[in-house]
Amino acid sequence: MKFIAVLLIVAMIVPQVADPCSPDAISKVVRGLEELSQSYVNVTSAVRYADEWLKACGEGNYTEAVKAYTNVSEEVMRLSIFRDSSRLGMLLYKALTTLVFVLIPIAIYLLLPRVYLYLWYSSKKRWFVVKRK
Amino acid sequence: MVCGEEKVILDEEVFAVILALAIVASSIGIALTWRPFGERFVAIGLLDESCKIGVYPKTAALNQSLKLCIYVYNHMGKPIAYQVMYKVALNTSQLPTTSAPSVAKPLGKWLGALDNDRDEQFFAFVRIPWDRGLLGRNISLVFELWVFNTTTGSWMYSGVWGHIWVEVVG
Repeated sequence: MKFIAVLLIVAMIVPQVADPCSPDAISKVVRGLEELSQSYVNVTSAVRYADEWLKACGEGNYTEAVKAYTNVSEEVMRLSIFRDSSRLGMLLYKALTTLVFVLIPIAIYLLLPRVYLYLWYSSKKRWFVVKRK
Repeated sequence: MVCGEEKVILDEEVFAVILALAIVASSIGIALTWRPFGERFVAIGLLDESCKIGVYPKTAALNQSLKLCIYVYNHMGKPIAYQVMYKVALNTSQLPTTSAPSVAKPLGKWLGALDNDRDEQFFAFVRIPWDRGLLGRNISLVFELWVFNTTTGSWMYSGVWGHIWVEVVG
């Protein structure tokens, strides 16, 4: 269902851009990529399509540019589904990392004396105690 | 240790130092986790036909095609659309500056897109314009890096460029 919705949106957007190499078209795609990137979405695939599209524009290959523009628009649309989950995922990752860093000194404070004592006693458990003369 | 004082197996001072080091390391870790993106910049490099620094052409004939290699790097913290413009500067006053591009007219361009912290190298075949007035003169082949600005919706000169001087021969 989501896939059909994405296709419909792309079908509505793509014909509106008469020239796939116009500043408007570039602006729309690059802004989309920036927003996705700021939401921590992995945009590598979309950037690759954008690179192919812009290279086609630079070479004046209009047919290839139209095809590549459709690809990059679809990819941006597809990735926009992951925007919220990626942002939340990154926030959770940072929060968990911070929690681990906060817990490290507390763990050292509580566990280090115990661990040290355990090792100290373990290393000396075969010792004999002899009264000093 | 004073006589009669209770002996501690783990020395308190050593324990305090270890704890202090752990607190400092954790603080640095937290600061690095939440640090904002550093300096934002783009870079361009002009390389020879082997994509290395060094063996650049010293002379070029009119209408001759030269093979050079262009290196572009993005560290803007976001993906960019870039454009490398090729111009010919006839003297130093026509060279670009960090704030303004060269006044010479563009003779070629290469477009592309780069993700953050990614670079790209590509070959550029450039031609010396057919102008007999250039014979015997030293001209500069200029490659400017332009980046698409989504706020203004137009290409913006990034302030970085690469150029080499060649003598035009017959």
